[in-house]
Amino acid sequence: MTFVNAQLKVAQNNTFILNTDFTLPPYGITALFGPSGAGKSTLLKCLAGLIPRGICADSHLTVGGETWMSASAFVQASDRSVGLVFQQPQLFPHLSVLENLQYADQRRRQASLTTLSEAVDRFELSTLLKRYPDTLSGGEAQRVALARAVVNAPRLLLLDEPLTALDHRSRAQLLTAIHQLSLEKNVPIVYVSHQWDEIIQIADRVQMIAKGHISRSETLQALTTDIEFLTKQQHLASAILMTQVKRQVQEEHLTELTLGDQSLLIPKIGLTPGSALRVLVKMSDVSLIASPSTQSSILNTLACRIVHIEEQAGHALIILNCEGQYLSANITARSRRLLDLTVGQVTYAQIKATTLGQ
Amino acid sequence: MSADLQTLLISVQLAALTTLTLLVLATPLAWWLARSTSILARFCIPFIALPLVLPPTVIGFYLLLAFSPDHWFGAAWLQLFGRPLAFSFEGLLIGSLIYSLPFFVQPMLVAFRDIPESLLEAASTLGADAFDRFRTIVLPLSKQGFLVASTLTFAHTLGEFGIVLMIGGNIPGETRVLSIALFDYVETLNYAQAHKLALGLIGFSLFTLLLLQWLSKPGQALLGRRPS
Repeated sequence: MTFVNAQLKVAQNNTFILNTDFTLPPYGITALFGPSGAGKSTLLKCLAGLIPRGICADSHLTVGGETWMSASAFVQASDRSVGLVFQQPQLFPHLSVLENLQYADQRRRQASLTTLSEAVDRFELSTLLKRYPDTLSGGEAQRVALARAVVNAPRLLLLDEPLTALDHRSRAQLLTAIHQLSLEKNVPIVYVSHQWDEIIQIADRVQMIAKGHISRSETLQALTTDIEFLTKQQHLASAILMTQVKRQVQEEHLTELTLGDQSLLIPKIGLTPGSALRVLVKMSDVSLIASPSTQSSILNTLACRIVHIEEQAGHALIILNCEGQYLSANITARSRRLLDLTVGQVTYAQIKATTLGQ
Repeated sequence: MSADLQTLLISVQLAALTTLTLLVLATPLAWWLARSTSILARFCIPFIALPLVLPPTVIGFYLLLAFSPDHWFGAAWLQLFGRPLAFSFEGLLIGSLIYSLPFFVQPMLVAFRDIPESLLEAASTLGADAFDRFRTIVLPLSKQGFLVASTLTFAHTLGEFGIVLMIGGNIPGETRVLSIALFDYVETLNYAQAHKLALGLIGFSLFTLLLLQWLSKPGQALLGRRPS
């Protein structure tokens, strides 16, 4: 089902800085991934109506059946109901946190996605309501900015590298909040980032953009099991495993997850059995052993089949299939020889797994 | 009413009306100049700033010519209102508006340019149209600019001399303002009265400048030159 249908053309000095066609479904997170200068922010601004009509003249955009841009129509940004959160929170400095939220609430065009008080709870803002933006930390301010966008009841939520300026802890916290929002509310989210780690933790689809053009649009699953993509994009270092919560191991403060016929242990996480959970595995956190070891400080050993080996300058990139999902390991060519690894062979991967905290 | 009190009243009236008129007319102009990237806007700024560098008598001279019933502007005014512009309070007001325009526009330009475009973009994505954005974001964020611009305009108009001398005509109760009265006292060697006015103006100007200093952000205090 298509919710957004876009043919966007933005020209500057007679050259296109954006010239691409794409569609978006009415739910889920679509990540827009590409190097800086690829036109990611321009694309979002164009969707939001912040690019002057004159320089995106030949664009065509329909959202939920309404035409926002065409040869004869141009809906102003203020009439589009698009939530846009930038890298910087852009809170109104003369208004308190509560007033910032009320500003958005008073101007929404449709039934609210969440009530103001629900947004306050969701983004943990209850203690900040009376404060002014200049007294907030980066993470707090960005939470307010997200809440403000959500309270405005957007038909489309656009996030332009919202976590870039934040510290590690705030990042994880906000990433969880965004993911949770997408799971619970029916609002399509476009998430712009150049951080692959962020994208694989929350995205449902990935659109690769370069030089103002979306060159590839895939589900995350398709991309993370595409060997050619994985070998070409070695710098994207991290893999994602889609798992399910099996049970809590209370006495050891661990949670057991199911991955096909195998299981994984992670630090305790407050999810009920059966819940889906994405586990992030960084390439640098994967090591290979010939037989399953019982004597290691590493908790998790997964049986995998080697599907691809690429050797280069003393290093070997090994792509492993584990229960139908793919992870990569980067080992030295010497280790590869010593372990005598070949394609098709079964090997054991010791991994350190991290997840989005609850 | 004593002659001095009447003069003071005319001066304050002129300064207040000039300030109010500029608040209404020059605010949109300053907003346009601050936001527009057009060549026309860049071309306009030197014209608005001209009174900052020209001797007031130059502007006064040309205004006097324009106000004359022989000129189309003066003639049209006479036709419309039944009395000539030259040597009238209205004429004085027009002169003050032109001469004080840069003193109002300059601080407003600084204040308006201080407002990040991204903040206005955020407001428009939240559903605020142009007027709404101006009212709810621009006005509150440029409050200080308005205070500085208004104070500067008021004080500057109060101290105006050159233009008033050329187009005012020194008519008591109509166009006789403080600076001209002071000039008259000195001419007639009435130093006691001259001191009263001069010290009064010094006191007022100093008070205004202190107020401005207090209102201005560090680094942008006291724009333009002191009221002449």
